[in-house]
Amino acid sequence: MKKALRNNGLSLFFGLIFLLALLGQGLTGHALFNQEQVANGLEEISLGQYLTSSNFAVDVSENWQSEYLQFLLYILATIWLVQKGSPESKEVDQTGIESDKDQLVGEYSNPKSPAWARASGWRRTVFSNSLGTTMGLIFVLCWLVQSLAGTSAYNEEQISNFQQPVTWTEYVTSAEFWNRTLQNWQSEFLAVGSMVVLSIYLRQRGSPESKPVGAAHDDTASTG
Amino acid sequence: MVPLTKRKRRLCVMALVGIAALLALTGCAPEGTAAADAAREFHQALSGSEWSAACSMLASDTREKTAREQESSCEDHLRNLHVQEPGTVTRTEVYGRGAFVEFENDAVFLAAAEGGWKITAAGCTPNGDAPYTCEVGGK
Repeated sequence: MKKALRNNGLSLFFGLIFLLALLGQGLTGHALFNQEQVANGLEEISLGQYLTSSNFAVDVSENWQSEYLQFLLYILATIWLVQKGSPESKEVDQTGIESDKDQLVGEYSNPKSPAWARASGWRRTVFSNSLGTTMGLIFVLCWLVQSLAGTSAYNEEQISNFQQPVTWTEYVTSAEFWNRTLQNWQSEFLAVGSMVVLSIYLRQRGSPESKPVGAAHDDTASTG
Repeated sequence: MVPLTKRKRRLCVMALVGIAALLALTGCAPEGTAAADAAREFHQALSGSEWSAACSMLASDTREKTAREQESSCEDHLRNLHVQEPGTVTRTEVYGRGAFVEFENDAVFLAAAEGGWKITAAGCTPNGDAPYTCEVGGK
């Protein structure tokens, strides 16, 4: 038990703080929603009603989609683009999808390699791209949910303001949808870009996200 | 009929739940019928000169605001209105706690309340991108 906790500490820690933060978002979002209901002369709703509402769904999904997009782009961009001196980058001469030997696939696989890495044909192709594909699928799904829940939440607000509801197509081409989307995207892109650049010159002792403290600034792809 | 395997049955249930969720999110829920009924009943009460009944169908905030702004009772305000016959319902949309019901000659806005749908505005005409101009309730 103790060993299992230690071996999975990173995922358990993030899983736990994710649930706590989501709970906090649900509780504060409910309080805020009801404040607005009272201000508009409308009835308050229960926590259960809020957690199943399009308002909560759009607030959650718009953040999720941007996080998955961030990791998708990072996973894909780092195949071909490098940053000299950054531990987040590959060596500058290793751009591209690399050789089968480097990637331990097919004849270069070892007995502990996953079965689909040893396989050939479509299974190896699917497994070789499974991380990006999964992140991409989750991104697209979350963005779709954001657009559907966003249409509903936006229209609920339109109706409470005595304005005509809009269609899904009108919503996904609206300033509201793109403003919600881009305000999330810009912050994700800034955070990733900062990490790539700051990690060239700054260190965090013991973190695999940083170079070793004594590594040279122009050392690329080394982790501490 | 070939019986579905357990996995296929599970996929069907998931698909149905997904479709139901999408319908609910996109405003096609059966709630639309109840909202349209409430809007129709309000117009029936107006055309039948049942002023008290019509007032009881208004959202409490709308009822109070109407009486306050017009410096008369809700009933008197409705009595002095000339809301035309709405015709048939051409469009009903429900989003969360709000509903919009469009008739041939009118538009009605509703909000979900404990006793069902309540009218927040009626006798409304479009005003470009700005809020509708309404005889009862509204901005």
